[in-house]
Amino acid sequence: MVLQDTQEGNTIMDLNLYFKNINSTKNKDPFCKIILNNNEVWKGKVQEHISFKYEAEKSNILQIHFDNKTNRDTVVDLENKIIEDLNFELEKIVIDDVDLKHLIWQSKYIADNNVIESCLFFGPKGYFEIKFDLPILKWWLKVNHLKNNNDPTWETDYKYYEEVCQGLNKIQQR
Amino acid sequence: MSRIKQDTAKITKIAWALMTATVKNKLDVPGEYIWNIPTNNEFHEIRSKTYSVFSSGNCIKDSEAIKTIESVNPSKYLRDPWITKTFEEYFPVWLRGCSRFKFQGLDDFKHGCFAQGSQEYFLNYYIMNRHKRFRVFKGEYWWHMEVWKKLGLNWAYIEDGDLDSNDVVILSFPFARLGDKHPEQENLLDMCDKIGVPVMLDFIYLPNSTYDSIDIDLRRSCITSLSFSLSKAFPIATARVAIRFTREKVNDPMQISNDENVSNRVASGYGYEMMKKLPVDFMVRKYKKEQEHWCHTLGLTPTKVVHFALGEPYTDIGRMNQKRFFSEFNDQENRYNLGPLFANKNLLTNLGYYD
Repeated sequence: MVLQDTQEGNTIMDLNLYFKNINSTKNKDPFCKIILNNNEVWKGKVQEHISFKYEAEKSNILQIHFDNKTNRDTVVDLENKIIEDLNFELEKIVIDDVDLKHLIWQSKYIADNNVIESCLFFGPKGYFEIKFDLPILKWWLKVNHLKNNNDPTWETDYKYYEEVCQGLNKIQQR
Repeated sequence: MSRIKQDTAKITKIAWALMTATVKNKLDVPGEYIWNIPTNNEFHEIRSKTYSVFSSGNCIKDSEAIKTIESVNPSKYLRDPWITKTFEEYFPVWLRGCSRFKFQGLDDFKHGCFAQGSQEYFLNYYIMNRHKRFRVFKGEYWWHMEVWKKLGLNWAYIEDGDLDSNDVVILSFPFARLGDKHPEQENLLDMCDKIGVPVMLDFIYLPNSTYDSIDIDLRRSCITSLSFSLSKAFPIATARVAIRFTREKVNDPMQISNDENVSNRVASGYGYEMMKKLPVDFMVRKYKKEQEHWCHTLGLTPTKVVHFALGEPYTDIGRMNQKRFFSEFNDQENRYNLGPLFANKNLLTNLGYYD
């Protein structure tokens, strides 16, 4: 793992978002807006895979806004059963080649001032939010251990891995 | 005698270095077995492989030996009907080339039979003794126990009960887990002599043994077969080159194939040429100093097998939890295979781990 440093000391982060079950209505496709640390970094029709690189900080807040949803986008039949809806699901987040896996659930969805913990379903108008630190692997190992208490050597092993990767990169550059 | 404290942190770092370098294709000599090659650059995948870096008994992947292997033209041996016999006849000559090995009674084992790796003669030993009970010391080559369990054969550790006349024994010398003579070897052989229990002595680690001088007395009546392999002497384990010597001819499947002259000629050819080109203790001559160096650096205890050292388990999740690779019988938590360190000296020097 090699993070590119910027002039300000921040790093260029490689972010990959994977979506599934993207449902359009007859007249409309779902659109999203991706905001990283209050900066709009991507905007457009929701796709199965959205990828971009962007300057990130040590601590980051990623938001995925679902803005083009209205009540009229949910169509129900006489029995109140939904027959058409504009929605999608977040499947996976990969940052700097690290799949967040189950830690994707360390997130929330905010809609109409209601906070829904651990929600990857973009149904109502609102936004998904996850906070994380860089380097992402270190954050992942730390949070995973804090949550599951199953990886007591994570810090040492991370240190060794980083040391070795840096050493190997130096050899490569010679 | 005082001893340097084990540097577990450095051992672990080196394990990370070797496995990360594997996936980045930076090893001086690439790995040989897929169980020890990370499939991707992901942290957890590499970490899972760091637990087994030092676990195997495999040969040192010496670049000079590899070049010698690559100089062999194996296909020519397919048409050589004499190559297996040539291999069998030359093996004792090659073995005696090491003046440190003082054999007594080797000539009595006049029936040499090529084997496709030690596992072939072991399997034939199991077949011929299938109605007997197999006995080994704890820490013996795990493959025996794994196979016996899978085949439902009768077996027991020697430590778990007295020998009886229905037993047969397999004993490695130097002993697999210790890299040295098992402390109970002579007592065991005395008992086997006394009650007539046959013994197969497995000398797979002998070529790499560092004894200044070692008396190997094969005159005991209980010793009925000797097994040798080139798998630890040279990095040709996957070519399957081994040989068995017995006092009496054993008419087992391996011997029948040999008599039919359909033994693996490519393997025989590799074995013969390697023996002609390199001495039996090639690795000892080359790596004895390296063994001392690494044992001093890492705080390990050298064994009498040049690529082994003994120490405490080095990982919490791997070895300390008694994680055993491949088999519940793979009881080698304290034995370190230094071969990957020897073979990757340039890499480890460049990374600052070779002082």
